[in-house]
Amino acid sequence: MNAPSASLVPDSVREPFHILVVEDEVITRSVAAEFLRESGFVVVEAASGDEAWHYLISGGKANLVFTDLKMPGAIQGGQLINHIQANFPAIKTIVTSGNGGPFAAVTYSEFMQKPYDLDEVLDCIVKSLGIDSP
Amino acid sequence: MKQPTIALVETDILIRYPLSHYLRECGYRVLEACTAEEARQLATARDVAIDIFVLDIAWLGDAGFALAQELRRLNEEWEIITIGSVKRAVKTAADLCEDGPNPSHASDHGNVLALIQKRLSMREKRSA
Repeated sequence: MNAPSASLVPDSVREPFHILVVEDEVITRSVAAEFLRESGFVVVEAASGDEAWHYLISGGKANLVFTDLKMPGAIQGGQLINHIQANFPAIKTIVTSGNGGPFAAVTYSEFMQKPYDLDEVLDCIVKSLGIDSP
Repeated sequence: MKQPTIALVETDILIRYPLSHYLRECGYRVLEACTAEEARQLATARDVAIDIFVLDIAWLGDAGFALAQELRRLNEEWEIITIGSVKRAVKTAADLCEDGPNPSHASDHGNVLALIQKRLSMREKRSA
């Protein structure tokens, strides 16, 4: 039998959703992470695609990954998305970039142009997870 | 009452995330820095008020000692705690938790250490 979808689980018994925020600019990352925590999510912060990947392959929990495209390290945001889709297909993904342009918007089904509005990010996360609220 | 703010400077996400989550459960606001440079940016950001810096010297190495000295020069009122091992990091977090706004909300720090060790072990196996 399939597990019930997240939106059907009563809020009182539901484990908080985990959002993995992958962003190499510390202030941008902190502001987004704190906003999402205040909204009710558990937020994990990673400064690069490499770090995010280490977290995931080590058993770290994430329901959704919100990642920048251009970052230092071996694994760029696009590669991270590909790895996640191949190895953790249940994890939802949202991509952000300051200069992704129309290409990124077409390539990724969920794309947020920087500078983004945090309320819009929250809406996008809630929609991607298929829930009514965090 | 103002929520005390800790800047946790730890390069390894498998240590940083469980520690920061634990400290948040104790009522702290926790800002995460993954490198010494990120810590500098947080320290000098105009609208970020930090009370305590926790620096993992084991991973930061010489950059960690230099950062500690720099932070002391920037603001003598900052409490700066340096840690040198995972066990020490968890013990430090447990001590901070006892003094935090919500110590009763914290999970057992032994569980935090066990979780970190389990994740580090999983990464080693995957990397081998």
